[in-house]
Amino acid sequence: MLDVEKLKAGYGMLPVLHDVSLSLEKGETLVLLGRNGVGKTTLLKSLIGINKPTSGSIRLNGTEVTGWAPNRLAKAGVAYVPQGRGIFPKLTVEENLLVGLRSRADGRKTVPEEVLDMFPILRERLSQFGGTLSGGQQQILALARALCGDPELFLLDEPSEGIQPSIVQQIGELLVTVNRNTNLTVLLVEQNLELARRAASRCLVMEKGRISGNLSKSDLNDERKVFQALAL
Amino acid sequence: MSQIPSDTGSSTRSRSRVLVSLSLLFLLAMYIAPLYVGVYSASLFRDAMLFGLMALGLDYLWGKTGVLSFGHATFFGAGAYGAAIISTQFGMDPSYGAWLGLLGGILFSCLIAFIVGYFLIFGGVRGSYFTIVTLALGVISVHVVLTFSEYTGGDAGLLGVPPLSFPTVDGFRPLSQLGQYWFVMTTVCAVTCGMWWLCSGRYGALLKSIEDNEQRAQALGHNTSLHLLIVFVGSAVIAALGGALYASSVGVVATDSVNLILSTQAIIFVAIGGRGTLFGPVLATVCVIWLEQEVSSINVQLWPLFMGLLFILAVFVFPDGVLKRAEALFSMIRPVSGPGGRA
Repeated sequence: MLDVEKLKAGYGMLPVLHDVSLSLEKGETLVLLGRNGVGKTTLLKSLIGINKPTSGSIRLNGTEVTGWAPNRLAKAGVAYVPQGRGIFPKLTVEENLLVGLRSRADGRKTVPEEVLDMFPILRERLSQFGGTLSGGQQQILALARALCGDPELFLLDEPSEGIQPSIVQQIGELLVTVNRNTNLTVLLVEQNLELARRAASRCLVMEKGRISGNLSKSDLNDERKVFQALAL
Repeated sequence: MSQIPSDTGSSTRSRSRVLVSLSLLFLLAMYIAPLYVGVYSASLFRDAMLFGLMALGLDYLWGKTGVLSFGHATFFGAGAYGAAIISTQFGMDPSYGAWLGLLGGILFSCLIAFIVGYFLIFGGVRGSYFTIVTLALGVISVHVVLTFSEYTGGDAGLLGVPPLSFPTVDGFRPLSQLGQYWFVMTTVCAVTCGMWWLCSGRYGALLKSIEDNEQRAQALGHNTSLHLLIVFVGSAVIAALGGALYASSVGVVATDSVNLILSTQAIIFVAIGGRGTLFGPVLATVCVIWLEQEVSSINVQLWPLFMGLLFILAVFVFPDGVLKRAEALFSMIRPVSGPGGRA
């Protein structure tokens, strides 16, 4: 459903991505592993249109979407959960979710029950300000808000960052459930191997702005292969 | 445990009931005030409320989306000059000329805001860069007024702008001083309440999300540039309504309704009244202008000193505005306990 070909992107004069190519099948969860500063976040930002690619092409379900604005991509079914959660601290939990409804195709104006069923903790805190939630709850809110837009493709940037292990585990389970129930396609950028192993159907490794290797689901359980791929 | 939430709910409700009745009393007092304080004071309040509309327009932009315009007097002035030029320079019957002027002034301001706003906002100009460009807009507009003096009257301004007329039993009659006061009062109340209603629901949340982080709001599917342009044009229209009504009720338009001092004052009104509260800036405008009259009647030179003092107070003592501070004091008198009490 997503085909990226020879994508180049960067910040100003500084190139970060060099000819990145990858493709996602509908319903799979692709994990992108890599150390700090190899261009994982830049790749996600280019896919949602926040960074304009300098060359290459991005196709979504066969449509050329290279250079589209973020709001247009969001309406086309791409949801992006940035690193560091990116919720709106001054809005209540409910308002955060309401703002996320815009990209739905059905024009629904209220928070869908199934999203709240998935995240019961949010239902208890609907009138609380987003900024008063704990880090893990904020991450859950960010995921729920993205799901409110009824997306086809989920771009997740390090959801485990700075969150206690039990919540990371919960998020991993949630991703698997969501992926199974709604046939959502997920591109997950992670440094947490545990979460990657739990959620992935396959895995790519990035290094210095290039895709340097790939690992199957079974490879992920083989520590030697993982370390070799990550050049640790 | 189940007792606590219901208690909080009823106390919040009684609190808001007190607030509503206080506001209604205040409104009633404002409506009958001219019968007691005389026509001069009433006209002072009327003008203050029209400047309040400008502050309201600025608050819609600055308070709700965080985009600061340093040239909002341009839109107030465009409304005022538009109304004055249309109603005086074309030899129209004042009974409908005044109304056409009102409409034309607003449209003129709307057009300027649309053109400037389109290129700035869709060109990606934000933050302090936006503020500086609007500052330049204010400077340019004063020069335009002075240059085209054959239409604008230059430094002397335009005189004889007709007041609005309403149909009565014996044909169209211009509004009396009192009639103007009540008309302006009603308009300002209606616009302020309308804006408050508009910004209270999902739309308000959307604007706040744009203020918080525009990129995130955009990534959730919102066309943030379009929203900002609509807010910018809307805020200009509100300011222009104030300006056009000002022209028709005072009868005179001069450069002091476009200059930089007025733009600065608009920002001070909003800061003192409380950014994003909508009602606050309107109230603050009326209070500050009333204070200006009182202080200036002692000594004209005192006022700039007072204005500076007020601004320092606004920054240090009530950074959220007088209204929020008053609300905090009010809560101390009638405390709302528990998590249900959202200020």
